[in-house]
Order: sequence, then structure tokens, then C-alpha cells
Amino acid sequence: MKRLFKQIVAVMTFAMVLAGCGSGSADPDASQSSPQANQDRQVVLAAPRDLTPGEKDGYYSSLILQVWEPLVTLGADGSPQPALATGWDMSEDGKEWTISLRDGVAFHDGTDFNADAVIANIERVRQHGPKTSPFYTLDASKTYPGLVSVDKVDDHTVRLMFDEPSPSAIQRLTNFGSPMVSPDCLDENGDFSTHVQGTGPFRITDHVTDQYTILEANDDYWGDTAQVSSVKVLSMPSADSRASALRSGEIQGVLDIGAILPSQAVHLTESDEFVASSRPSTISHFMMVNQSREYLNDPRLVKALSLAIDRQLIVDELYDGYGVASANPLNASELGYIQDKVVYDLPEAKDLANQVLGDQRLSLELLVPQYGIDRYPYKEQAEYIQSQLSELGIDMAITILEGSEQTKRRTEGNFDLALHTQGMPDGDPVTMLKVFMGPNNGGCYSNEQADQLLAQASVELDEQKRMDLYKQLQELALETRPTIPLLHDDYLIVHHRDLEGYDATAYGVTLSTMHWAG
Amino acid sequence: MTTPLVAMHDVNIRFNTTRGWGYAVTAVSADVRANTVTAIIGESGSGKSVLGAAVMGLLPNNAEASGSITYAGLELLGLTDREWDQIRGIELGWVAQNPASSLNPVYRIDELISEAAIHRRRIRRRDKRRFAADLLTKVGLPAATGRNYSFELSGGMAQRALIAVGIGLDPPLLILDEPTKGLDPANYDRIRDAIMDLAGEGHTIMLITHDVTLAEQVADEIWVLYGSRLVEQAPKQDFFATPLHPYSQGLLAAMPSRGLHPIPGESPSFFVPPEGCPFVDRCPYAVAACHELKTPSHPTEGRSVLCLLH
Amino acid sequence: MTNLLRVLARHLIQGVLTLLGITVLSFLLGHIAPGDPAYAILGSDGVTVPTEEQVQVVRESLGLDRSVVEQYFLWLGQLFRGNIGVSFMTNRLIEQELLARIPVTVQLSLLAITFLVLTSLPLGLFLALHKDSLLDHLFLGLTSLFSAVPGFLVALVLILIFAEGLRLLPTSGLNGPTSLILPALAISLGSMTQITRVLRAELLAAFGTEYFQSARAKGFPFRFAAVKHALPNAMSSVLTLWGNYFIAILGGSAVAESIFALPGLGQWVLKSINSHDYPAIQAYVLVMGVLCLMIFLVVDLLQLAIQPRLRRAS
Repeated sequence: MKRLFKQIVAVMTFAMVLAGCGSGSADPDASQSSPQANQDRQVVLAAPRDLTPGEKDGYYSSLILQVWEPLVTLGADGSPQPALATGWDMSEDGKEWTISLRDGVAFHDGTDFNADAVIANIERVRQHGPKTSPFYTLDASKTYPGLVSVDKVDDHTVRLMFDEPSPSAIQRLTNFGSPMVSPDCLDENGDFSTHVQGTGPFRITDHVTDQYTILEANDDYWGDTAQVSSVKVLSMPSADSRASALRSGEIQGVLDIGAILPSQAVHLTESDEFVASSRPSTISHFMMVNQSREYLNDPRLVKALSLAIDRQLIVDELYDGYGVASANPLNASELGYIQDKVVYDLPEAKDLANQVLGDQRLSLELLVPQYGIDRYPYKEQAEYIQSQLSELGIDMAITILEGSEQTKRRTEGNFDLALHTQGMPDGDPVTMLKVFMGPNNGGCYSNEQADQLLAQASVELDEQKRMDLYKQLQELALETRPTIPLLHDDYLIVHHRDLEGYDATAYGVTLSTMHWAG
Repeated sequence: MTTPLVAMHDVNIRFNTTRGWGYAVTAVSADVRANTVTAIIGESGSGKSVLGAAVMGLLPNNAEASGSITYAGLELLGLTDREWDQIRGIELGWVAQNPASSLNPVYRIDELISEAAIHRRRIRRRDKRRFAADLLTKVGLPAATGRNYSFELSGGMAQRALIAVGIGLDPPLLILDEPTKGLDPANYDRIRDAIMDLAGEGHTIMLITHDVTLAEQVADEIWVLYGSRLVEQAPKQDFFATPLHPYSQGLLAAMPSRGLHPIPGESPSFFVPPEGCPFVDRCPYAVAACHELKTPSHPTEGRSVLCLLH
Repeated sequence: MTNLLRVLARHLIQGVLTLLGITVLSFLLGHIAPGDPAYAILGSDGVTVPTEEQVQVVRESLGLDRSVVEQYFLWLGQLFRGNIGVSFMTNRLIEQELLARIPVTVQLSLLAITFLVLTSLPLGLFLALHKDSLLDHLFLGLTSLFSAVPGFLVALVLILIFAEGLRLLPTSGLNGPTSLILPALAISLGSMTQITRVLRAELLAAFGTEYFQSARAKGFPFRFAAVKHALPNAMSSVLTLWGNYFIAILGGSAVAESIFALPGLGQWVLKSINSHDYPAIQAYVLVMGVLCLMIFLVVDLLQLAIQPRLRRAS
């Protein structure tokens, strides 16, 4: 018994000592022997989800990891920028697009990037799509609607033929719209048979589902090669864990949507050990209004709702300033986005509401999705809106629903008001505006002028005129309110000061420019 | 005159219960001589089991004992746990009541018999079965009983097994608490014979029992406890020939062999400290002075009785 | 030894019935619960707003347009053919997911139960031996505290102390054996105190028994008698508790797995429930059911081992 006690204590002590010796935590201070940080040292980052869903996923890995590249990327102003495509020309009738491809580019597995590869990739989506993914859906009918054929002109030129004028075709190919992977890494079902072989500055060397992805710099990259040689991206679902890992030095930075909560970012950056970086993202928050319902079909009431919400307050208080208050349904990263000046006018709102409702009180239901509670401050948002609308004579009940359940009710039109997020579908503003203003839009918004403008913008071949149409559509949206946008979210990340060149972009981080501080 | 093995002097044991003090043993003074069988008889609640427990040092935490109990000159009251561990089993052996609950159902009988000897390194672990077999045979059980568990044995077998457990280390003093309670005649005889065998081998035995017939059969000396007091103590022959205390007389009259005459009245309460003779309320010869009687008298050598009549 | 066969037979029959029952129940619950896997799949990117036609197509491809009963039997039939299904969300074979994740959860749970046993056993014994001491009172107070604190809070505090503060252990992830220590601790801490209390109580009860007295009468010191005679009898109730806690740990590992980024069954089923991934949920229920039944069996067998009187047919 005494012996037994002693044995047990000994074993436990031994175990604790072992634990202490074999710790996996990387202590940034301990290992630096020279002031010159070694770029061969692996950078460890964390994301809220597995950024490499793998073989059955449409993309295999997220764009963020910069393993595969698209034909075109999104510029800062939302316009298409050359990536693997160097230039593009539209035919007179708008039904043909000729795309020039970059020369001297190879996939990670050594095969050449050329017209044949591009055609194989596009055919893959046409034949085996739609392919679902947590990032975007690969769907030919969405990305290249009306595509008749894609042909090889020469090794570095392809031609897309459409059955109707498609002036925005290139815009729809940005980022997730045109992933280019080596045809050799695809199997007969359009799924991946090996790690994705892209053309990007990083290649995937190892991946364990829901644990980590290991990236290695691609020394043969056609552009500026990555500055660090190895990156490990961990999958860490808990926001608190990510913050802890930053503080303990286990990771040097976080990435992906929702990588860090604004409040955590504020906390961490109080000490100068950590740096935050943010940019307007591709996600926007809305309160959708079902304008087929009684009273809600009166534009005055919808206007009242919009005026009663202090969007800047929401951004400042609930999002810690990380966001752009806006009543424009078009996302801030889109081409031709016009930043509006938000208006908050409660007296005017009350007046309008009074005109519509008179003395009676209106009961409305606001549907809040569970993911909004988990990832965003939707609870507080809903409560704030509730108290504001109460002043207008509206008793708003808050109903929290599971995500897909809310989507279902929205699609079926079984709702009054609904909070939701909407990501930017592609680089074509019309696509997003159609979500709110087009036929079959979720809010039962109906406006002839909108229909006209949307139809026109889809086929307007002149770029200048198209931009003008985008402007008109946005102005129309601000005036007639197909929905009630609240804010455009910021893409927010935090990193340790030992890591430099690590900045947020609209959809990702600058992985290839990051390096250890000298 | 043999020297006393166990000498008790003015032993008082009381219990601190939720209902106040309970008086189990009051002013008991008597000796147990070596190589004898002393039968301590009395009804339930008379204090005899408590006395036995005191000799073993197995009184519960709320018990308070005063006076002196010596074993071979060693004062037992006030021994430390360590000291008790040294002498229990080796010097003092205990065979509890209720063999069914006194044998740990998790171990086989041979383990229960041999474990003390193994613990004290008198035998080696591999000799366990043989050691147990010897003791089992001694108490009249087949050697195979060693492989059984306690719940597989009948009442009589279990009682004998329990005795075998108690004598494992061959202690000079053996205390048996109600060894024949609830046994049928056949088993009763077997136990009685076992006791006599043990006595014959030289063990000193304190036999706690309410069975007067058994006492008559095996004892050398009789102690009678009533209402926490030792009301009579005498050699067997003398006791059964001429019981002195009225309670003893009543006891004998109540024996089946003598007519089964019950004693009228009720036993005194546990919670009332006895003043004088505890039998006073039921005694046909009681007088006022009986209430103040404190010390026993010694009418003849080797006899004591707490009574004004003698 | 006929009781052994009886025990095994009973477990087998009850086991099959239980598995059928729980899979039917979870199937029903999954289908009754609000939410629609088709919408979940189509809307998983947060960008696409599915049209009703698209939803219909997906529903058909997943077999959701058939009756619930039909779907269940299809699933059952598929199961008997050795196919545990394909995940709605990832389109991957569930078998793959299970093979990767079961070891993580099982290892985590085993470590947690080991902590549980290694602390509750000696501690319960120690406290029973030192009843009413300062340590005893302290511990009894602590018990209430630990039972009230929710698991995730314990986890976060542990991370704060050991990972961030002392930097002894990793905050999360699965990098070698040290990664499981904090999560296992977080899971077992609450139950540790409770089970210790039970063991303490059982031991104290055993100390009052007559067989314990008889053991002491043989000259065994209190501690020796406590371990040899009191403990095996006290273990009986505790053993069942350990078994129940093991099952609770297996199921409750979800929270710890999320916080500590461990890719186990718990994390997986949370994801699956959120996305209405019916095949995944069914597979989880099945696997958990089997694991639980196995644990019950082991506990029963252990009981037979330490309590001989259970071995004989009554």
C-alpha cells in the first residue's frame, strides 16, 4: 500500500516530466541564435477550418494557399487582373473571347501550362460539375453561362465561344472562377488523384485532414518566388485556441475568413508583439426584407427600416470598427463599387412608419441564422435592431434558426425579415445585384427599371457604358431598397511581429511575400 | 494457582451516541487464567461482546474505555495502532459473530486463512493451500473447502472456516463471539467439539455466548454479565451447582434442561448508568440498599458475586 | 462458469437490439430536426443562393425524396453489405473518416479515463484513510467547485496555465503524445472529483463491515486491510461509474476536440450535425453504440473478476 502509493506518485511525476520535455510548442525567442532570421524556418499559421478539403473537393485547396492559380485575379478596384492569362479580347458581337496565356509556366508536376491544360480544366467543370466546395461552387452554368465551346487557337491562346453576348465573361472567371490544375492530377470523375498540382508559388507536400497542410516554396515559380521555404497551416476550429496559440508562440499568424474575432484582435494588438491587418472582404451582411408581405410591400416602411438602423454604430461597437458601413448591396470589393454615405435618421424613420402604420403596432419576425451567432455578433445586432424598430411601432420577434433551415425559409419566402451574409459570387457585379434585384430575388423585390438595367448590363459590350450601368443599378438600389444592407465585412488577420510582409487581401493573405523579420 | 493471562480491573466502557452516553460495561474486574475456557454469558446487550471487542482493541471510535485490561502483563487500553497490529492475530485471536458477513466474499477461504501467516512471513505464498488445508482439517472441514468462497458455504461450515481463520497464527488467546448462534444441532456439536479441541491444545479461550448449555459443556469458568455489570463469576462446577446471584439462578431456571422458566421483567436501559445492582427491578429479593451496591463480594476463593445476599 | 456465458449471450442479444434501436432513433431525429441537407450542401459556400429546382435535384441524388422508412432500410441494407456510406458534404467514404478519427477519440478517451482512474483511486483511498483531516475537508469543498465548472471553461483555463503561461504543453493540435494531455485532463477533471467521493464513501462503508473487522483482528495494519480487504469491495460501484464515465467521455469529447483542434469523432459529428450530413450522423451513432456496448461488456467482465459471488449463477 505504501509501496503502491509511492509507485503511483513516481509514475505520475515521470509522466509530467516527460510532458515537459516533449513539448511541441515553438518558442520564438528560444531558438534564435543569430539576429538574422532564417527563412528556412517553417512558418506556422492557423485557420478556422481545413483549407485543404482534398480529393473530392472542387478545388482541393483554397485559393488562399496559393497552390493553384486562376486565369484572372481580382484587382484592388475589383477589376480582372492578369494571372495565368496575360490578356483577353472580345469579339465585336461579344460572343467570342480570345485569351492569351502566360508563357513558360509549368505545373508543380512538371507538365506545361498551355491551351490544352486550360481546355481540360474548363471541360472538367462542364462535364463533372457542379462540384461543391466549402469555398465556392464550380458550376459551368454560373461561371460561364451560355458557353458553347472552348477551343485551342495555339499553344498559348484559347477561344471561348458563347451563344449570346457575354461582355462580363472574364469578370466571372476571377479567382475561384477559373482554377488551373495539371490535367494529370485529375481522375476520370474530375476528382483529384494526387495532391493538387497547380502553378502557384507554393506546392502541397503533405496534408492530414482537419489537422494541417504543409506548403513548400515552388522554386520554379514564374513570378516572384515565395520568401519562406516552408509553411505549416493548422486547422483550429476554436477561436480561443487560435488566440492562445498566437500568445504562446505556437503559431505566427492566422488566416481565412473569421480567423480572429475583432475583440481578440484588439486585445492582442495592445502589446506591440502582434500586428493586425485588415482589408474589405468579399462578405457583406444584410437584413433581407420580404417585400411581398403586408406593410413591407410599402417602400416607405422599408425606407423607415433602413433609416432606423445606425450602421456605423454597429460597425464601431459590434465589429470593433472592422467593417464598412454601407447601404449598397454590392460588395465593396466589386468592380465599380460606389461607396455611399450612410444615413441614420430615426425621426424621419418614425415619421415614415407612422404614415404607413398609423397608430397600430406591427408584429414582425426576424430570422437569425445560427452561424451568425457563432461567428458574428448577430445576436447583438438583432437585439439592437429590435430596440430600434420598437420606436417605429414594430414589435420584432427574434427567431434563431439553424443555417440551412433559415436558407430554406428564405428560399420559400416564408419570412418577414432575415439576417444573413452574402459573399461575392464572382467578379461580375451583375451577378451579385441579380441576387437582390433580379427575377426570383429572395426579397420579392420587383422593379421594372431594375430588370431593364440588369438585362442591359448583361449584354452591354462597351466597357464604359457597362460601368455606367453598374453605377445606375447601385443608385437604384440605394433609392428603392431591394434589401437592407448593413455593412461590408473586413478581412481581419493578426500576426506576430516576427513575421513581416503578411497582409490581408480581399480574399486571403500575402503568403508569398511573408518572411521572417531580419 | 495459574497466573492470569488476561487481567481486567475496573473496566468501564461507554459509548458516545446521538442519544447520549450508552453504558456497555461498568466496573468489571475479573481475570482469565491461561489454558482455561472462560465463558462470558449474558443476554444481548449485556455488554459481553463489547468486552470481547475491548480485549481485541476493536472498539468503535465513539467508545470510551477506562480501567485496565492487561494481557500477559501488557496494558491493552491505550495501545497505539502500531502496537495493536503487532499483537493482534499473533497473541490475540478473534472469531467474530455472523460468519457469513465476517468472511470477505472476494477471497477464497484458503487465502483468508493463510494471509496473516503469509503477511508475517511464517509461511511462503506457495504453501498457502497446504497451510489452509491443515487448519481446515483441524476444524473438521474437508481440505477442498479452501477453494470455496464464503458465500458457497453453509452456516456451520462458514463458522468453522471462521475459526480456522482465527487460529491461523496460533494465538495463545482466542476470543469466540457467539460461535453457535443460529446453528442446527449437528453443527452445534461440531463447533462445541472444535472448541474443546482447541482448549485441549492449550489455547486460552474467552467464549462469549448467550447459550448457557454450551457454557456448561465447555467452560472452566463462568462470568455472568447483566446490565453492563459482572454480577457473578465462578468456576463452572460451583456455578452450576450453586448459582449465587438471583439473575444467575434465573438464567439456569430458564434453561431448557431445567424447565425453561423465563425471568419476568425487562432488561435495564442502555442509556441509564447503573447504580448498584442492575437486576434490582426484577429481583425477588431486592431491598433498598441494592441500589447503592457498588462492589462485589467474594464468598469463596475464586468466586465473586454482586449481591447483598452473599 | 456458466454465468460467464450468460453474461456474454445477454450482451450480444441486448447489443444488437440496442444498436437497431439507436440507429432508428437517430435516423428519425435527424429527419425530424429542422434543416435540410440539400440546402446545407448547396449553401455551404455562403455565396450560392439555391433555387428550388437545384434543391430538388440534390434531394433526389441523396435519396431524400423517398420515405423515411425506405431510406432507413436502404441504409441498413447497405450496412450489411459492408458499406457504411458516403458523406453528403464531402462526398468521401465515411469509412475513411472513421479510420482516421476513431483512434484520436479513443486515445483521448483512454488517456482521460486513465487520468480518472489514476487519480480517483489513490485519492479516494487517501481521503478515506484520512477522513476529516484538513485535506479531506478541502477536497470535499473542491468537489463542488469542479463539478459546477463547465468543461470548456476548464479547458480554457488549463490552456492558459499550461500552454500559454508555463509553455509546458501545446495549446492545440495533434503533434505527438503531449497533445492529448491537456484535453484529457480537461475532460476528466470534473468527474475525477465526483468519483473520488464515491470511492471514499464506499471505502468508509467497507471499513465498517464485519469482514474488515476480522481482517484487522488478524493484525493487519489499517492501510493494508484498507487496500486488500476494503478496496476490492468498494471497487464494485466505482467500476460501474468508471464505465459510465468512459462512455460520457467518449461522447463528450466533442467540446475538447473543438477547443484543442483534435480531429476526432466528436468534432466530426458536430460538423455533420450542423450540415445535416445524415449518413455521417448515422455512422457516428452506430460506432458510438458499438463502443459503448463494448465498454459495458468490459465493465461487466471486470465485475465478474473482482466479485466472485457474481460468477455463480444465482
